[in-house]
This record gives sequence, structure tokens and C-alpha cells, in this order.
Amino acid sequence: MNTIIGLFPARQRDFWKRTAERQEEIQEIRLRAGRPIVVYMGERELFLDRAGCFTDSLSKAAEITAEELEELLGHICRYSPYAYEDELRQGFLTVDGGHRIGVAGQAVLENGGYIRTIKNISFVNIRVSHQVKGAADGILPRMYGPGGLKSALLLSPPGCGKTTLLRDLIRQISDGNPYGEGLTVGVVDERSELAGSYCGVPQNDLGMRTDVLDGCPKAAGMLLLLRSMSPRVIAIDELGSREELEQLKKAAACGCRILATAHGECQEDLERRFDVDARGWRRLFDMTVLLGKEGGRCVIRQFLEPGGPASVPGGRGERNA
Amino acid sequence: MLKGIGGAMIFSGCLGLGIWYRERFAGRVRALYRLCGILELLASQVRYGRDALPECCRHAARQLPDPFGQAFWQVAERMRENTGASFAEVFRESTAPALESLPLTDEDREIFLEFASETGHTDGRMQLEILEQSRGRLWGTARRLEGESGEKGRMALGLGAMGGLLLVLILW
Repeated sequence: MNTIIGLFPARQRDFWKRTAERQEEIQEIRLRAGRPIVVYMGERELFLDRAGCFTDSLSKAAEITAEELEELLGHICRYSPYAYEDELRQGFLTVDGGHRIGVAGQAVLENGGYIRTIKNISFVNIRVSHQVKGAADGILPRMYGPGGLKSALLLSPPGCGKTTLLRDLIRQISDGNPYGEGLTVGVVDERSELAGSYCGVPQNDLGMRTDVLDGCPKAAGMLLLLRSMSPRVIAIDELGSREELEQLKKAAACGCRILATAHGECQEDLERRFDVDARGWRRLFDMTVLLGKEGGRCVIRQFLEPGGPASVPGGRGERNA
Repeated sequence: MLKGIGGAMIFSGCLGLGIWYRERFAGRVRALYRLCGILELLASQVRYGRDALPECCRHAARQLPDPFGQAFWQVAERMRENTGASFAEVFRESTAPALESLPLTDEDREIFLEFASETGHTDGRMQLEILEQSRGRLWGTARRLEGESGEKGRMALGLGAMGGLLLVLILW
């Protein structure tokens, strides 16, 4: 469904019509006040001319004015930026359709030195949300063993499709699939990337047995979900601190299966970063899936299972949104 | 006999006009207080709920009697449809029939509609301030008129009665 046209106010919709028609191919739209509009489609960087048509030529590229950018932001924020104060402070907000709007401008600092808000926003990055249903088909058979669903860590450098893969895993595990019946999944979606929640409602399909805690710090959120929703599976995106790891251990000790992603080239990277030895790490996860890129495509490089040999899969990962 | 009936009709007509003027003064004061109440309701939604303005209108619609309840519901629905129109345009168009039905001046209506055009504040306190300013101005006008309305009402009624009597005497 074409949802990005809704991001633009009526006055700008004619210009953006052609771009919106190709929403499925677009990864990002970069808007900088007084600078050419840049659209990323796959590996290509394109500009828009004055008629809103795609062009490779920088000389024909149309620029967006500061006033147009302000009007666009006002419309995205439903003419109430104050209601998105917390999101703007973090530098992004999620909108209807699950798209993420990243913003940059002039930071207003409070006494403590932390960011109170961002004003004079002059840079906007529209990251178009794409849910790739079936992205996890390749790893799903490996996710189940004699004891049922395995806890898994998806590991890769940025931009290799971890979040897309995790999103589809959650959906298929929640709905049920040929390898296992549907399970209750609790998702702590700190940066609204998995569910793409807008006003608390997930814009991406995470399955019918999934509960989403949106915008909550992962460590606190896991505890809250464990207490309130008794999930069988807990999923988080971008494991990043010792505290989160400790909470994951608690969840695992409660009998929950864990699905998580983390940045890294290999498992040793994580062991160094979190100061956890290989044994401790492997006690938490039954399997580590290494993702990477080959020829511009996101692929699954390796499955690592304790006690088992590393194996190269037959299935492939999908391009990240 | 006919002269008497005619005279009575002229007198009651003029008296009625005076009463209508008096009611209009009082009606404007009531309408201004009503608008103040609406702005206070919206300010509460912004202050405590941190809701976006269209959501504030949706919540307010449930609490306001018609025609404002209906108008605010319409604002929320039209903003949900996301036709690309700005909040100021939608708010102005949707509330116009409700505002027209009240005995207000154009200036009163503009003060009420002012906050809808002044959006875009990243700080909630700024948005609240805008709402409070509009409310304060309407409240001030209402208080002033309330003080004057008794006197003006009596004057309108007196003028109506005296004018009627004068007309009857002239035409007799």
C-alpha cells in the first residue's frame, strides 16, 4: 500500500506523487534544507527534478526549501510537534505505515548537558519501512530442535538484514509454522524498528500472539513484559549493554526462549564487548546466526550451534528495509 | 379600536426588539464563556495527555455538546483521513457552522481560531501558552461584557419600549 504520500502536505503531494508510486523500491529519502533531494533505491542514489521525476543528473536536481521542510515536518507531526517531544529528542519518530523519520538540526541542551529538544530542523531522513514476509523461511527449519524453539542470536554488521529477519521470525513463530505451533512472543521495541508502532499500534505484522512494548528501554521492558504478559519468547533488537544481557539471562532462567540481534562480525566480537566467555554466551543462546552481504544482497553466512559444527545454510537472508 | 390594536402591536414589536438586543448581549457573554471552556478543555488535553491536536479534538468531542461536539469529531476524522490539509484549515472549516450559530463577532471567532494557526512548537508549554492566550483574551472580553451587559440590556429594553411608545404617539 502506498503510504508515504500521506507524509506530505497537500501542497507538496503533486511533486511527490511519482516517488510515492515507487515506494516499494525506495529505501531512503534524504531531505536537506536548500540542498538537492536524494532518493536511495537499492544501491542507486537518485535525485528528483522539478517535476518530481527521478534523475541521475545533479544539475537537474530539485532542492527543498527550509519552508517546505518545516511544512512537511509539521504535517508529519500532525501539527503538534510537542506531542513528539521525546521522539524528537532521540532524533527520530515513527509514523503511520511504520516509516522512520530521522531528524537533525540545532540541539537545545539542558543544564545537565543532555538534549532537551531539537530546533531548526534542517535535515530529514525518511526511512521507508518494508516488511519482507518470508525473509526467515531459510532459517526457520534450523530454529526448532527436539526441545522445541531454540534461542537464537542474529549477528552481523549494520545493514545486513538482522532486523528484517528478526521481524519475520517473530511473525512466523507467533502465528505458528510448519515446524512448530504458535507461541506468545513479547517484543521490547525500544526504537520502534521491529513493529514500527504508531500511537502504540504496530504497523508491521508481528503475528497474532505478539505483544509489543514500544519505546521502552530494553532492560526495563523485558522485566515488565515478563511480569505482565508471560511470554514464551522474548525478542529484542540490537543487544547493546551488559544490563540488557543480564535481563536476557533472567528471562532465559524463567524458561523464555530468546531472540535477539547484535552488531558484530563474529561471536568473539560480542564476547569481547560484553566480557562474557564463550560458555556463558552459549548457555544463553542455542544458536548464533551470522549474516553478511554478498554482491549487495543480504545473506546468511553461518549457523553456529554449541557442540555442533558451523554450517553454511542453503537459504538466504533478505535485503533490509 | 383598530388604532389601539395597531398601537399595541407597534409597541410590543419595539419592546420585542429591545428584548432581542438584551438577549444578544447576554448570549454573546454566554458564548464567549463557552469558547473559553472549550479552549480550557483542549489545554487540559495538551497539558496532561500530551496528545496531538487532532487527538485533543477527538477527546473533546466526547465531552462537548453539539454543535461543537460534532464539529470537533469532524476535525479529528478529517485529520485521520489525512487529505493533506493543514490543521488550521480543517479546524476553521469544521467549526465554522458551530461558530456561526453563536451570537459572536468576527473578532471573537478569530481569537478562538488563532491557536489552530499557531502550531509547530516542539515544546508543549509553548503550545499551551498559545491556547492560554486565546482563552485569556476571550475571558477578558466576556468579563468586560458581563459588567456592561446588565446596563446595556436595560438600556436596550428601555430604548425599545420608549421607541415603541414614541412611534405609537407619532402615528396616533
